[in-house]
Amino acid sequence: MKKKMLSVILAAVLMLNMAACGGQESGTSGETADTEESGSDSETADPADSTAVAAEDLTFGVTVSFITGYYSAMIDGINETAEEMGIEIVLLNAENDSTKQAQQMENLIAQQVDAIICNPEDSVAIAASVQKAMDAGIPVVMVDRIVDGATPSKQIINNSYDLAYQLVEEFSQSEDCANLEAPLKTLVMVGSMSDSYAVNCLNAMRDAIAAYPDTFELVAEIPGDWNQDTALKGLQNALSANDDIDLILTPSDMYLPCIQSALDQIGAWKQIGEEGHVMVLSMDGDSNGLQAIKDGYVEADAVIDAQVCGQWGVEYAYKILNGEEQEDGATIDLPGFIVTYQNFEEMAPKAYSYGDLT
Amino acid sequence: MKKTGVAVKKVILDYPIALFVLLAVLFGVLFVPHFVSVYNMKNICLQLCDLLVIACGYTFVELNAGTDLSCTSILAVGSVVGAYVMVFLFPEAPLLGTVAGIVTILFVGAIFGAINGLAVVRLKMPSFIASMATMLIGAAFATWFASFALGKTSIGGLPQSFIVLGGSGNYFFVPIIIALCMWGLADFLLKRTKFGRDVYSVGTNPKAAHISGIKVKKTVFWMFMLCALFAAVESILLTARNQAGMSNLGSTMFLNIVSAVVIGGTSVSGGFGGVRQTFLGSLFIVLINNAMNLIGVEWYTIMLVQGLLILLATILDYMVKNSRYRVKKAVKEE
Repeated sequence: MKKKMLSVILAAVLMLNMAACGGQESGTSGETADTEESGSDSETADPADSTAVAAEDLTFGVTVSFITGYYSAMIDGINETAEEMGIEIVLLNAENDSTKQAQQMENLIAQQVDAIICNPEDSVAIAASVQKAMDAGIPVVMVDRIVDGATPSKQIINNSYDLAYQLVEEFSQSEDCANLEAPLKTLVMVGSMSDSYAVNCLNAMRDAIAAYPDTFELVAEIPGDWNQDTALKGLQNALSANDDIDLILTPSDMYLPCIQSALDQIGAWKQIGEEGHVMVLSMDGDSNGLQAIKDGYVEADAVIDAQVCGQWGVEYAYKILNGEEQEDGATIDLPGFIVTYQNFEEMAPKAYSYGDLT
Repeated sequence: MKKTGVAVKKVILDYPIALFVLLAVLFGVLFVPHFVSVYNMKNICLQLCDLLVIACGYTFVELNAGTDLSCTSILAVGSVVGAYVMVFLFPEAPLLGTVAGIVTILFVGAIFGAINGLAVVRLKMPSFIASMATMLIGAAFATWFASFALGKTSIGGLPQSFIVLGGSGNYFFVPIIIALCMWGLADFLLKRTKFGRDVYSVGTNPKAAHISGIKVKKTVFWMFMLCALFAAVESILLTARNQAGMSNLGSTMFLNIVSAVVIGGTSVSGGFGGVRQTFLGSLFIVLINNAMNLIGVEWYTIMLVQGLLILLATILDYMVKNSRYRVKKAVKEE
């Protein structure tokens, strides 16, 4: 019994010790952070000194919100660029959990990486961690999504609302929609409602549909929660309730397999021009999406260049470390464009996933 | 000499994870760069707070061989409703808003606890089913409330007096103190009160407990209630830490909660264990994640290692179980 008590006391002492360590340090941590900051300042603030940081000595921390075809391409962009430059990459996946992402940011700061490339799960929740890193003198480059409530070194953003709106708007002007007798009965697939990208796309699609009432009629929105199984079931149910659907809009190519499967079951997965074809507009531009256009099943795909996003993330982080002037401002938009089955030959080769097509 | 040998053996058998924690610390100190730094110690303490409180709550349910799947939904519902109260109902009075927000989140926890508890005790539902229902309802409500009723993916702009609870800036000790107090409270309840003794009796053998005059239903109800209330306190800490009310808060945490409790050594079949074990289990998970992040291991390796460790801990638990009875016998004989 005595021994048992002893072990408990020891554990408590250990814990108190740790807490006390933390306690004493509140003053000094500020100091160390300050000295670090001034250290890196003296390195970077004076480009004329020609003490450019050698890329080979650098380690960049990367934390991504989760992994899809799109984000894999972004990670490829990061890894390839870093490998060319000789920069080491520490890659972490927050698995859709912003608390986990905050912990990963803290651990990257503790590891004293030279810069952090952050693809936030939640724009508001990441703010505190971004501030912590900036305070510790570690530049942060946000990729794909913005941070709301802190000032990072650079934001490379994906303007998903505009691109989704453009996708639907351009389609409404296209020859596919000329001479319509009645508006197209439209289904909209929805991502996770706790994800700003999904919400932006949904809002853009709703707005664009409302703006062209002669072209589109919104029949149903299908919640998928970024889960293929949920999306498939929702789509099956919607299709059995409405057998005259003309058009499906999806915010991500990750839903294309479910769309194919659901349409297949009712015999409507047909090539463009065939009788009974259901039109599909998608986003992401990953290899699934472009392949479906190439094979003639999908009308259009909005491509956001994920690979360029990753590449820019690494390049900008390096530039910032070297104190290079940022002429293009604190926030830059990722280039986006729309690949359709009509312009495939011209536009598709510009997409990051073109090399993966068969 | 033999006496101390038995006593040491008993400690090792009661806290088998202690050895693993020591090994993890040793590994960190020797092989992991930046592990021994003041900043990282602070990180480990904060990250322990992210898990410890809810894991302590879950220990109560685990001691009854039950499950509470809804505990992560409590995090989310508490987070969005609490943030709503603070940001939208009391925009002008941050301090009052903070108090109202905290009370609201605790109230949310109490509702979940009461539903789970009543469903298990009155309707005789298996806790897995009852809590699955409340989990789904909770997750749906949180998403609907944030995304559709308020039109936001996360509710920012929480009052500064609330954010302090998450340990921002120089106030990092606040969540550590809260988490340790909650842990101490749980340990006190389990080890120093009649309720605690009842928990172990009911967890070991509910029939025998009933015959010996323990109010089994009441005890089981309070196990679920405490689990939910601890989850609500965790919701407060995590909402403050993320500085936003979020409808998907803790959606991937369940695995870590169960790992912390089971790796710690609380028996999956109930009746043995406690929050001291859970403390070590939580610390172990935090240490492993932290050390592997610092080394720069890819995330799937971390998942793999965590899976292997759960397997190892469970095997150890079964191996230890037999020796535990032998040692208990030896202690008694003396």
